[in-house]
Amino acid sequence: MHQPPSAADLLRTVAETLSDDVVPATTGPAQHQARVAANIASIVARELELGADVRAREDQLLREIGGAAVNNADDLSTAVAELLRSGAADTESEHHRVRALLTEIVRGDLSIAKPGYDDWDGE
Amino acid sequence: MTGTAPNTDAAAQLSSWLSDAEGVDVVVTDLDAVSAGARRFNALFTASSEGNSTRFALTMIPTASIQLLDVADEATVRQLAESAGVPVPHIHHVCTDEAVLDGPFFISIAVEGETVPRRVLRLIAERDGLGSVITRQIGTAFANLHTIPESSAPRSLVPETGLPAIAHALSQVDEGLSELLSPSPAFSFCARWLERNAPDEPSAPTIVHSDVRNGNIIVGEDGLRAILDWEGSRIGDRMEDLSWTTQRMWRFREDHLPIGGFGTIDDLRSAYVDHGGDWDEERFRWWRVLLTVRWGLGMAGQSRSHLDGSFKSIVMSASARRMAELEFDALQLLR
Repeated sequence: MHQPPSAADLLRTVAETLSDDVVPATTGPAQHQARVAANIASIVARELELGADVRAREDQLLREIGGAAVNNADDLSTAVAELLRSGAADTESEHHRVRALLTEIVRGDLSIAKPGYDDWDGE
Repeated sequence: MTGTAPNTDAAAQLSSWLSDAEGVDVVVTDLDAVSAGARRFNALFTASSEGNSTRFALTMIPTASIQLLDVADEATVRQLAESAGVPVPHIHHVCTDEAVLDGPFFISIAVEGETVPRRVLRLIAERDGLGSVITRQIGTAFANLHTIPESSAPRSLVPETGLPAIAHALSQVDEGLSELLSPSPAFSFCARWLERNAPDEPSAPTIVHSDVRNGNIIVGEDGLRAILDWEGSRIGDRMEDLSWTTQRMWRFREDHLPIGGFGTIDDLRSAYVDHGGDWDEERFRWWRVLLTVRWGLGMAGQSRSHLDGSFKSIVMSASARRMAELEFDALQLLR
């Protein structure tokens, strides 16, 4: 087993170096690419730390959406997507229930990809 | 000259072409590239003749790139819009000969002002009421643009599928869903809602710009000066144009002002209606959801282009990770 820093720590260092040192030292397309690279390194760092929990929670929520219809599905996400596309949440009560659960799934993805983005209430 | 700074050759070529076109000696100087995207090259230059100097904007479509809209047709649309009362930089010349500058181009008057979103927002923040003024001017511009009947538009503005606006938009969503490398339950849910709540096809399709937003407008302290970037214009549903301005992405985190981070929907709506526009609230909401989903699916498409090697780019590589933002926005709109 290697010594710390962890893979996520190392990626955070990469992100900081890009943001603090490379971005100010570059201009134009190279600067933009450095900024994007820093963001990607931060995303991957969060995925390494949060990914397993987010995926486990997603599975749980997908099962809650799909119920018995997806019990034996090979690919839960595909099964739920097909179910919803073909009208499983057409009634008003299902619309609200499923919409809320889907929002929880997406909040999980956002906690990795863009923390803080989920602060908008749609108004 | 795609993606590179214009050289003295380009200025010389332009001088010679303009001299022929205008029948007087024209000298082009101070040719400055302002943006060189994958699809078009924009520059500003000064043209001097008979003691007068004027600043112009050059829009050139590199020959090798994909043209969304033929240069001559884009110029026609801009001229139709200008005649209808939409602020558009006036076009002076159109050249479809690709040999002059490595691609067809047009030349319009240069309009002073801010276009970069954060500078637009800074200018507006410094002046009370300016955001409302600009929002109302956008609403008015749309009301004028949408008076142009389908019959006067170039035929290339009709989508290739030949489908009417709503059916076309729905087919794009299903196509985008089927191309995803990993399913999106959120967008599948939205697609079903869009299908079940689809409005009737517009009874009077018009020219729509399709990309009016903070970033495609020139503003000054007096308000809206011009609407730019007409390459995506086509025949469509007027409410699509109005809905696109509310995308959360164009607000730069100023969520309390849904129009570009500087204006309210009330201002947009009342200006549109005051100038004769036929506002349809249900249709407005439907398009807001549809455009959010379509943009999210487009993000996933960018990453696929990177993955399959057809357009390698670090920016595009991570685009699919942004799809969650659009999934969230679409679900919020369906509360």
